[in-house]
Amino acid sequence: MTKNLVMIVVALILAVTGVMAGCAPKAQPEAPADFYKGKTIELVSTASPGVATDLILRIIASYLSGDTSASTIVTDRRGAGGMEGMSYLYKAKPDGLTLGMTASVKFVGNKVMGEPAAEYEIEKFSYIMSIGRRLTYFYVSPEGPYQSVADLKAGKNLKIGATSPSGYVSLADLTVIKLLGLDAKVITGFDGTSELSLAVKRGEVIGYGVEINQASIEAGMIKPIFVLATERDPLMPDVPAITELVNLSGEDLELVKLWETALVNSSLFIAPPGMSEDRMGFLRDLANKWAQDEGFRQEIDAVSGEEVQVYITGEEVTKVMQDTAAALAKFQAIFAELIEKYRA
Amino acid sequence: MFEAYGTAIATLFQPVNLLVMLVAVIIGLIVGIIPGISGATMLAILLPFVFHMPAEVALILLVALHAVVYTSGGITSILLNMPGEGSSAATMLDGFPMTQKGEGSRAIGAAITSSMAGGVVPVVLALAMVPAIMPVIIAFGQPEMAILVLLGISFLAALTGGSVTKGMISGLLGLLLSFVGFHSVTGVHRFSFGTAFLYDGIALVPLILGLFGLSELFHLVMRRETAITQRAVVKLSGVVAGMKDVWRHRWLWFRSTIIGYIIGIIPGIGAGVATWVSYGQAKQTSKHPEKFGTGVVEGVIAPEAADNAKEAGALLTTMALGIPGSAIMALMLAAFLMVGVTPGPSMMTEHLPLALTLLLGVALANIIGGIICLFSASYMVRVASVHLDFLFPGILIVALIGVYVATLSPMDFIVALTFGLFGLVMRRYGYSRPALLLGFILGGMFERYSLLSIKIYGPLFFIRPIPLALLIIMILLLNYPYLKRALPGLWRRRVKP
Repeated sequence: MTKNLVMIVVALILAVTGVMAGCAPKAQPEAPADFYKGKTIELVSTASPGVATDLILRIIASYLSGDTSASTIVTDRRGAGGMEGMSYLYKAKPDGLTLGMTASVKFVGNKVMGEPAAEYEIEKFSYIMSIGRRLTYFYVSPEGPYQSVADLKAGKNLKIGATSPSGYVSLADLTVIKLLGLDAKVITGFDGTSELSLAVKRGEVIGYGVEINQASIEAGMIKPIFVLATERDPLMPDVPAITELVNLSGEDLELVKLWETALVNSSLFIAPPGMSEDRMGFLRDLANKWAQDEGFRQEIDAVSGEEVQVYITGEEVTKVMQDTAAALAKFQAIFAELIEKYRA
Repeated sequence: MFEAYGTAIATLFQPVNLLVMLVAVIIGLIVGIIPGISGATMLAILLPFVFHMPAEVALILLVALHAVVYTSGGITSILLNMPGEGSSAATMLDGFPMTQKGEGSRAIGAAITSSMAGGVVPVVLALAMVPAIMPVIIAFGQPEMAILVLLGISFLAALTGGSVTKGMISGLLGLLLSFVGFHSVTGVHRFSFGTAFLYDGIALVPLILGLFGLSELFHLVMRRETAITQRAVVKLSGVVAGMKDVWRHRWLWFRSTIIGYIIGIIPGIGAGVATWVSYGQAKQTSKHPEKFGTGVVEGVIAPEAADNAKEAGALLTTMALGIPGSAIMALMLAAFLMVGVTPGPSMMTEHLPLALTLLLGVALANIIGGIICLFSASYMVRVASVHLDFLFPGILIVALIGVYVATLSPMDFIVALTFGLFGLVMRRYGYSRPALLLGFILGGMFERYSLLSIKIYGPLFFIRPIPLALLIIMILLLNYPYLKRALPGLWRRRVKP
């Protein structure tokens, strides 16, 4: 009897508890600001230590830590030209605790060149912000025989220098060869742009394409003859845009526009694919707030070596990457053909 | 000019700058000792913090830190057969055998003195060299680099140990290992089996720590020995003896410093070449080359002098021409730009006092760092006589942390352990681990420079004045022991009636 009574009471308690649980208001998802408190955020750097992209990430680390009360740790995953870090970030859990930074031109360039180690899809990443907009110039020796586009076009069996065969410089060189219709080969294997500038100065190669290289310009080793863009760059307004020097249309013009958008040299602050909207919104709001902060901008200017004017929102970057991804197969086919034809 | 010197000295000796320098020197010495954590890593961590500082304070901090990393980098090579910095690997060849013979403090005394002086003297040469730097750099194109690296490789013969055949096999194996990864000249992936891990090839840090550090530990554990087979001399007198050794071999030290300095000036040639070329010439020109590798002090003096001198050369190129010759110099270049100073020819005119402050800062940091190391050397050497039961886990943890910090890849633990076991086998059967390392470090460089030379100049790229001169020097150096014996005889025969 007593036993039955106890069982009934227990059953009732369980039933009431169950009903109450069902009626209870649904648990509120944790607010992003609260989520980060006391957590550790891994910030994946895909650039060599000391490069602007790496230093910008370290500045972001301190601001992120200050605004979220989370600890931040910068990890160096620059292997395989940064592809290791990007692939790592691509596969990371999209909880907002693993974020990263990469140079746009390498990030997109690896996909354009069809690099097998680039195990990611550019349109799937979650973009928080893009910092800076450095265009690509074509440089020659200030004392060499090739001082203009006309000189380059008249040249025979030209040697143009590059670092890695699938790298950004190689991509720029191949673009210049195609746009100007040069009789040239790309010689790859130089160890960085300083070595390339010296090779230009020595006359081992006639030129190469890269972003603004102020130190080499000031040392009198190289000089820019045009920028790969449809308009002049406010950072070097005396240097003409390639479209001022040659008439381009169709596929060629699309290529130049690619260099102005997805292949521009900017630092992309990224999260893994599949981030929840509220955490992305939170991170984007923080990034937009920093972009308005005078102190933050001064720090970015200091590590960039110039006054950085361009801060692009995550939403805008997402649009650019989606457009680029849509045309990726076409660009890959163009460059596959160029590599076959012009790599020495 | 004298006014600029006065300004530089006054700036350098301001209390705040001296304090910053002292802190930087201590950090640099610690970083230099820890395997896997390089000076470049530390500089990268510090860079975002320095731009709030005045230019001279920020740059003194970074320059002083960088200047002493190589001073202490040789200590673990000598005591534990485990280089703190990759470029200290050549110091292991004779440094560690000296420790095993109970001459650890002497080796450390010699290494620190040689390194310190090797860092100070080039500063004196630096300003005199400024007008000559650009012509030197321009003169060293791809063919010159290729033959210079070949000169380094030619000293493989000097590292073969007992058996030339086994030495050559070891060197060729190193060369083979250097082929792993993406080839930047041809764009071909070699022996990477489609994995991103091997895209950049086998990482240097796990290879060195495994091949030398771990294999040595495994060997000691198997034989239940401490690193020192004889009782260690832990007195200051040992350190002083090492210092005197540098004076005794001052011409060797001077040659090595100049070699390191000139190689340092040339961008891109890398740290490995300077120390190995220096070690090789020390052996080839020695009266007792057969003793190298068994623990002779000349084998410590030569690479240590070159190791530090090359950094003074690289700093000068970075400041005077804005050309960073190495990863760490790329960081220094970034630091200059961050604090509003653009390196280049104008730096030696517009910012001459700052340039002089930094060059003198390098010298002063080396002196401070050297003194700290010399006074603590007799204590450091006791590490090698710690009982194995304590030493083994401690060193194993330090080595594996070093491996992980350097690459952040757990796969590199496997690489380090594999090379640890492989090194043990090599040691057991008399194959030369230094020869393998030399082949590994310089093989890839030679391949890259020679392929670039062929693409630019054709297959006869070496028919140029500097490569030909270097080839002649190489032949003379390789045959120096025979020539030294043969020439006096020839001379006597000629003068006899």
